[in-house]
Amino acid sequence: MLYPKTNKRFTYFPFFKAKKRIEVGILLLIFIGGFFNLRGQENCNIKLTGVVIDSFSNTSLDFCLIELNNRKPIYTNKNGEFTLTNLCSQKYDIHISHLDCEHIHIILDLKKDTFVVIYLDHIMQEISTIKVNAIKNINKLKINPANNNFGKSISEMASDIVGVDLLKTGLSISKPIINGLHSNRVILINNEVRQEGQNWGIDHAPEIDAHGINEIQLIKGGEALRYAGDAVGGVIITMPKPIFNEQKETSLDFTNIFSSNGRGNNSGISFGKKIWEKKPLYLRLNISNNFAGNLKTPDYYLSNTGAREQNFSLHLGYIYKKNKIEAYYSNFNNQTAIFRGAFIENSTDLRNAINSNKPLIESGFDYKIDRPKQVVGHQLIKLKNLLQINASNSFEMIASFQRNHRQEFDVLRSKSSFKGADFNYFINTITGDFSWNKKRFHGINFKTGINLSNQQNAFSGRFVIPGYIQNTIASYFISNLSHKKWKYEAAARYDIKLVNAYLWSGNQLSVEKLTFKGATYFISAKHDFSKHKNILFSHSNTWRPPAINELYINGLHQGLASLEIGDKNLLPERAFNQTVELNYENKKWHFQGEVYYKYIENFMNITPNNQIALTIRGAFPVFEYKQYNVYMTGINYFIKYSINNHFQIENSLSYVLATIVKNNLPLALMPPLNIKTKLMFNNKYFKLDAEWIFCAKQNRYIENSDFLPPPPSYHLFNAFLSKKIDIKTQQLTIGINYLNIGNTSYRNYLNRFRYFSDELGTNIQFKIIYSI
Amino acid sequence: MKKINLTFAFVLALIILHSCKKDPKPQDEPNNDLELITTVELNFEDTLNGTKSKFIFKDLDGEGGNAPSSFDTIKLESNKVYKCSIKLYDETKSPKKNVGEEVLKEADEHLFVFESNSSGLIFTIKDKDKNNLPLGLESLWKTGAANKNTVNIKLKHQTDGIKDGTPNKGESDIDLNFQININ
Repeated sequence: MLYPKTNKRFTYFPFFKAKKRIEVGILLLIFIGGFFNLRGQENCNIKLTGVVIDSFSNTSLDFCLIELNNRKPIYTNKNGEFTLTNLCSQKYDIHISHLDCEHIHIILDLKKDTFVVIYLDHIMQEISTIKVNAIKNINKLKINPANNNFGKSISEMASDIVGVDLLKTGLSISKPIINGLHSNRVILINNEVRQEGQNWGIDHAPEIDAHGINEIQLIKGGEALRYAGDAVGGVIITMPKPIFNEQKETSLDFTNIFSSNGRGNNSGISFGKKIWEKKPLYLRLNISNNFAGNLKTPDYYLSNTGAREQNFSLHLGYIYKKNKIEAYYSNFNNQTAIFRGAFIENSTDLRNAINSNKPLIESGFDYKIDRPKQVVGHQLIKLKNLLQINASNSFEMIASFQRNHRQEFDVLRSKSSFKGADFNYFINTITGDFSWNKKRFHGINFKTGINLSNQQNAFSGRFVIPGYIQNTIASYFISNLSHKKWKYEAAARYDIKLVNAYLWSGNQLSVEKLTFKGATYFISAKHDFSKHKNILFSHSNTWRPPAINELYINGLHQGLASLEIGDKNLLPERAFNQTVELNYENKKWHFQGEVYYKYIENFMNITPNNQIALTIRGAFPVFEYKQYNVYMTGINYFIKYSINNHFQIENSLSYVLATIVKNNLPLALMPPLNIKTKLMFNNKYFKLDAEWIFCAKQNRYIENSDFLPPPPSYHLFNAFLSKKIDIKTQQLTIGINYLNIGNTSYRNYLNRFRYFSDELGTNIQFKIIYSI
Repeated sequence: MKKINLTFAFVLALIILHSCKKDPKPQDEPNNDLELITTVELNFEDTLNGTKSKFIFKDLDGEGGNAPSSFDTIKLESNKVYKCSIKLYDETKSPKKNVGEEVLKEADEHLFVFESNSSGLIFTIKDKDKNNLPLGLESLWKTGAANKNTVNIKLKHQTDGIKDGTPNKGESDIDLNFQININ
């Protein structure tokens, strides 16, 4: 049988023989009842007793699964103890696993009654994919309140991952771009549920509370197929802290960040509790509140750019026999004011605003939020059961319900008339997810399952996209196999999507029924040159059907004075992606480099059709959804050098080239070359990071294809100072962030409001994080 | 405990679903409560002999959809003075809503702007708002020699006290280029 190498350190007494050396995390101490081995007789009255202890908190671990050869697996009791009787004097394979922890495998050569103490490194929790090597995953971010990026929105935190950039609308709204692709092509998975809102909108930020999130990960492997078959750009997973990892009886975390720019305050409280001793019930409650007023560029205030956000979430976990049951509810509410100077409803006004150096509307500081503004509410209920049948088989069932209500309030034409929302959309989604996870099936680990989803979209007020009902059923198979120094991964997924779109013309309703079916697959091969170095090759073929907005959008795009029209005859996209990734890590160096080539057939894109639509408010350029073949190629790399325990330097770069095949012209709105450099210093008193961001000018641009050419390149400097104070078991962290040192004036090509104003000026933040 | 968990979640789901009952359904006919200006009527009166004429812009389904159903060419005689009275309607409502009345009520936040390259064509705004600044629902047009040209008419919406009589402030609720034939 082939077992994966684990990276846990292992020490042993000479009496005990272990087949493999295991690295960091497990200490196995054995007390043997006697020094004398009874030889000769076949003795099957041996008793093996033991206790499993969490090496981090030094507490016993109940509900650990102990599996011995082919015996019926048992769990450790509430004291972490287990007993196995009638064992023979022979070698036994023992598998020990605890819920989210990677299991460990040891071989015991039993001679007589033995008592073992097993220390499990509980902190290292990996979900299903097996870590073969020790190299740190830079595509995964642990959201630690002490981190520099804490307090930002989900998208802004994700942009710390190499290859992830931000598509912004003004200074308060941003969504992630992965290697140049975004919106319908980037799928966000929040707590194992696909985030469903009006994702197609460029100015629709993900409705996820950053406070409740513990980890953000960019998924590059076949694992993405578990959630989505249409992620041409990629999948980003945001996870709250696993509910069953509550180690303390009670934990309380309080965070507060004040920002000078916008005079805003972002605070959150997280309360965790392990409720019952006998029947483990875990609870976590998160509440957060955010408010800010008008933001300031180096030279002027931006009128009406405040924001408000209130969120809370409740997470419950309960273990019943072999079941891990979870219930989760989150409620997200955000109100964002839209910069008045960018809200243009007319081409002439647009030209005037663009030609002016400063916003036409002058402003001072104000907390007040006026129209135009966005108001979004998002609720998620999730129920999950993980049934761990034995160490190699588990079944998962997830049911979820999401309700997203998005409103946009335009500039009011008349105070006495309609005061409601101009854009008022409701989208409700129910999903069901069933999967089977199997490890070590003839050396293969696999996960297979079914996703079901029912979605309803309705609106009142102004039409942008039609009301529709969409049903999806999908099935997937994800597998990996390790053999000698290679690890292979193969995954496939098939989606069937049925859509009923309701289109009204005058008083007549016509129902458009559409069916989309397609398969997506992913394969990769990784070779370990050594524990320190590996290379990975991957190929994927992704199918993406057209989304409702691409098919049926018809309306004025508020704020950019243009009319967008969909095309109901669009065909699905097919994206072929090839990547080569090199990883190297030793004590001093860490390097990850990736080059990729992506060919997308039938790439759907909003394109000016050189027509003008005449409306009462003037003439608007018309944009239509067209499709054509494109290819994208790029490079992402990350380097970290540790000078010593106190000093480290990091450097990362991201660059993408996207070209339309038929005419060899560049694709618009691609992220320009981006280079980040960080100097990090820490000692026992404080931690100081200095960051330098360089963003080049986007030179791949077609003359006169945009209201303004891409802005010039810029340099940004940020510094982060923090200090941790330990007071017994409590922890206080205080910090100061100094962002945009030098108050640089700059514009960002990926900000749709770059026509109207500069980016943020200096922002000084004060952070306090208190944990009990 | 498992039962309590499931019941709790079920009850939550019910609460949330119940609040959905007032939501619109996907199949619902959109009821547009929004304020639209669908129709601009230019009513001219010859100050000499009282002859009246009317020229209309009409776009019933607002932005997008179909092109405007009417976009008349203004026909006036040369070297004459006309009174021009502008009427605005929202004809998606039944009966049609008089938006001009709303504009009059908020005269201090609105300004009509008339521009043209037609030689000799002069515009004078007659009505004023409570701050003695021009409005433009009522104006006088003095035509010059015979020619064919265009007239641009804008209705600027200037909220929050930014109105000062100058045309470049605020948003354009109306921005139309009428063809004008002066005989």
